[in-house]
Parts: sequence; C-alpha cells; structure tokens
Amino acid sequence: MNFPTLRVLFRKEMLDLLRDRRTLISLVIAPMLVGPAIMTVMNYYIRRSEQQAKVERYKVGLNEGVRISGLRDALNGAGLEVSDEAAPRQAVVDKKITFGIDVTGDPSKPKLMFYSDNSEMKTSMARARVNEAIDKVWRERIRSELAARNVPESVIQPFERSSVNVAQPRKMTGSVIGRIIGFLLLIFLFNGAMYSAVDSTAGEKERKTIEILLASAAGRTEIVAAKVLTAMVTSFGTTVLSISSYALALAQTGSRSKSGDLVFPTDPLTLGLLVLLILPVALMASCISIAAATPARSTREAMSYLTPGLFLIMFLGMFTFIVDGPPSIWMALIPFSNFSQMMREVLSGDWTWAQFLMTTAANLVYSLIAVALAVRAFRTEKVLFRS
Amino acid sequence: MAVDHISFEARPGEIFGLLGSNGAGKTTTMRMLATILQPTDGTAEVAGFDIRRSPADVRRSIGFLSGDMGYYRRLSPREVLQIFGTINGVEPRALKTRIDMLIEQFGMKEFADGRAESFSTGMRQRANIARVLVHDPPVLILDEPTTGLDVPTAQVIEKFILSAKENGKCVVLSTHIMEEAEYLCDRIAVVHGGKLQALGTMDQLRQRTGKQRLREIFLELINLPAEGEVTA
Repeated sequence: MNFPTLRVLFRKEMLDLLRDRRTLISLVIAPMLVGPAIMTVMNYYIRRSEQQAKVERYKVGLNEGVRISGLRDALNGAGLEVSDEAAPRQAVVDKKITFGIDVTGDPSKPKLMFYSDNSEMKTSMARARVNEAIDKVWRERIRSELAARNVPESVIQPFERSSVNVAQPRKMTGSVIGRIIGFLLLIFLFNGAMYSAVDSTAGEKERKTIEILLASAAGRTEIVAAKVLTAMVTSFGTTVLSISSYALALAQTGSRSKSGDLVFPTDPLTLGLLVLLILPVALMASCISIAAATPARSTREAMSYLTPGLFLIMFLGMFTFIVDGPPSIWMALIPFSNFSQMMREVLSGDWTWAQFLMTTAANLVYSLIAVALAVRAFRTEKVLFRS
Repeated sequence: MAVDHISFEARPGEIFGLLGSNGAGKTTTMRMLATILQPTDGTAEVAGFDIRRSPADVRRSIGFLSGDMGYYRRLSPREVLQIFGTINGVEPRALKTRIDMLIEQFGMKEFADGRAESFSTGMRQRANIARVLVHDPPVLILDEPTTGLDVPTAQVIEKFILSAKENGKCVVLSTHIMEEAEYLCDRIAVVHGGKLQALGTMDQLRQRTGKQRLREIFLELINLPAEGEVTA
C-alpha cells in the first residue's frame, strides 16, 4: 500500500464528493435538519393534543333505562358533557357524541353497554374518563353495600400491593432508547456509506472518469482504499451529525421515559466503546456498498442493488425489538444484529468485556471480508467494464 | 476473444496508428497497453516495462486519453493536475512549475481554477490533454481521442499529437477515421476481428494493396486473410 498515493486519492474523493450539492443535502443538511424537525413538529402536535385532551369536554350520551345513583354526577365530575340519548349507538355512529352508554336490566343489578368508535383517537381519552367515573360509582356502591351489611371495607382489600423499579435511570434509558438506537444507527451508517460509495464507483463510470483513475500510477488497492475511506468518513460523519441532532431535539423537547428522565451516558469509557462499536460497522457498510455498487453501470442501477440489502440489514437490526438481554455467543456472530444488541447493553451499562470483544471481533472479521470483496470487485474487468 | 496475436513495435518520435472499424479490438489493445486490462496470454513492453510484471511503472510512463473519457467536473483543472501529477510521482516543486507551464501552453489561465461543470467541450479537452502530459510521460496512448468532437476541438488534439511527436514522444493512436490516420500516422497497423491484418507506412500499404486512398486500402485489407508486417 502506497500511503502518499492513498492520501492524495482520499483528498480527491472527498473534494469530489463534498462539492456535489446533492451530497451536502443528503449527507449533511438532511440528517441535521429533517429528522429533528420531524421529531420537534411531532412532539409539538402530541403535546398540543394532550393539552387539548385534558381540557376538552367529551360528549357522552346516556340512556338510563335503569337509573344508577350518582352515575350522571360522576360522569359530569369527570369532565364529560352528559346528555340523554334514546339511541346512544346510533348517536355515536352519527358522530353526535363520542361515547354512548345504555343502562338496562334489573335495578338491583343493572347492565351497562358502552358504544364507541375506536377508530377515533379521542375515543380512548373519553373512555378513560368514563371508566374513572364508573369506577368511582362502583366503589361507592360496594362501600354502601358493605356498610349496610356491617362488613368492614378491609374485606375487599385483604393485602396491600406496591412495587419498586430497581433499574437505575441509565438502565431504563438503555431499555427505552437502546432498543431503537442500534437500528437507527444502522440506517444512518448505511445511508452515509451508500451515497458516497455509489457516487465514487457507479458515479465515476457514469461520468466516464473511471479510466483516468485506472490508467494512473495508483494501484487498484489504493484506489479502492481511498473510496472505502471516503465512504467510511461520510458514514461515520453522517451518523454523528444525525445522532447529535436527534439528541439536541430530544433535549429541547424534554423527553421522558415512563419512569422518569432519560439519562444519556457521557463518560469517556462509554463514548469510547460506542465509537469502537460503530467503526467496524461503518467500515463494513462502506465495503459492502463499494462492492455492490462497483458492477453497476449507473447510480440508479447501483441504488437498485443496494436498497434490498438495506432492508435485510434493517431486519437484522430489529432483533433488539424482540430479543432481550446481552447477545449470546451465536447472536454475537450475526452481523448488524449483534451491533444493535451490544449498543443497547452498552447504553444500559449492563455489558461485559467478553460480550463486547466478541461482538467487535466478529464485526472486524466481517469488515475484512467486505474489504476483500470490494478490492476483488475493483480488480475484475468484467465488473468494471460491464456494458 | 477481443484481441488475438497482435504484435507491433512503436518508437520514440513516432506516431503509430491502430486502424480498425468499431469492435476490431483497438480499445482492448490500448487498455491492455495502459494496464487497465490484463491479457489472458502474451505480454507487451511499454517504455521498457512489462505490462504484466511492472504495471505501475508502465502507468507512470504513459499518458492515456480516450475520446469518450469524461472530466472531473467538480474539480478545477489545477486540482486535477496537482492530483494526477502527485500520483504519477512528480516532485512537488517540479510539479508546480510543470502545472504553470501547461496552463500557459494550453491557454488555460482563465479557467484553471474554476470548476469544470460549466466548461465547454474544448476547454475540457485542453484540460484533459494537460492532465495526460502533467508527468511528462515518454509514451502517449490515445484511444480514438477525437471521436465525438467538433472540428475545432479535434484540431486542438491533432496539434497536440504532432507536437508530442516533435518532442520525441512515442504516440500510439487508435482511430477509425481514415483521414486522421493518413494525416497523422507514420506507420499504420490495420486491425480487424481482433487480428492484425497489415502493418506499414502509407507507401508500404499502397504497394501491398495497389490502392491509393487509405479508405480503399483499409477495405481491401479487411477482406484479406491475416498476415504479418508488410515488407518493403
């Protein structure tokens, strides 16, 4: 390997790539702005609808064939607007009311039937309030029945229940964010690598500059190494930009887990481990993209080769959604899946060196195989000069 | 097989033409000489280096230009010269002088630092020629360099080829344009179906075929069985 030549080729690749407006939009502006912007807008609307839901008085239609004492007051007390409806089901269908209640049966044991349109988002909010009101009436009724029979209330509560979550905030963060972060990182890493790889291989063919490079004194290995290095830099750079932007957006919107604030580890060891986990995958993503895009005659053809691969990688990255705990020996050997699992464990602070080294070693081996594939593709004349 | 037993020798200060119709094997031969493709059998020596054993030395000794070659549109001509001069082993100080000289020689001063996106075909071709010459190679391999160019731009290329010959460079030129071959080449090899049909000066080819114009000579030769070099 001639390193001075590699340095010149790398500079050429970076200049060529970064001066393309589409590259700047796809690799810099989009990751920094689009994702966080979508997140901020979504957060804004979710919060606004939550606020609206709190103050909105949902309409409940009541048909009291049998009267339940205190039911109407309880519903009104829960912030619902109660009206009499002879046919509550039809009223819900006609969207006159959000929730309908039919009270029928024996006055000593009335039967309640609820009507709702579950395809409407506000139904769940109205149902929660109706349940709260009915629970109140239910409890009151039991209390008075018990009092009438001189039975202490404790009979219906034979013991007390309470629970404590022993997971530290960091572990909860790993559980909440870690499940999706590995998956997201895989998408960012491949997106960054793919664009650069396609532009520097199929793009060079399309622009008819590949022969200039091949006829220069640079060897094929140096040419491929420069392209891989460029793809790796864009892959890693795009990922860092995307994650930083998302983290900023999260911090701005003050996102919380169900059990409290999310705690992102910022200690040097964890950050170092995350970088060590990401780098082999960035290398792997770059080499796979270069090897797959090199046979293509145009950038469009190259994208059509790479897109199915991206779906497969996304599928492997989704294992963290269904598999809990650290990666087993076999799981540590499954590329991409091992990465997202290990990412979750590191974020949770629940990792061991053995798991980490096994995952990283496996990914390094796969990266070397991917490097060999990329170099081979660039040495094969049938692949380079496919017409 | 694209090329079969083609053998010839081109000398310094000579323009050697490879003449053939489309698909004759010219581009494959040129690519093999430039070490872009590897021959399945046989070999060649370029500037004293074997294309199989020392491909990097061969590439350092050649300037390769083809007619449908593109240009690095996002880079300026000066950047391209800097990059390929360095890759081809020119010392930094000598490279700076060489770049300034080429920019002057090919009238590129006005656009040497601009990006080639907005360049005309003529400007791009001048920048491409400068790139070919940046490391001052002793051998030029030119694969149909005027194909698709308008007359004024093609003339720039022709002038460049003639001046390269004057400077003692060995020029191997492939073309299917008869007029160009007749005007520029000292010796011509006619290639057809991947085989060498004839090789010689215009006079030798006329003598062999009894025809005067290169077009007629060519048509006559591609109907003949393959033979070696024409002897005077």
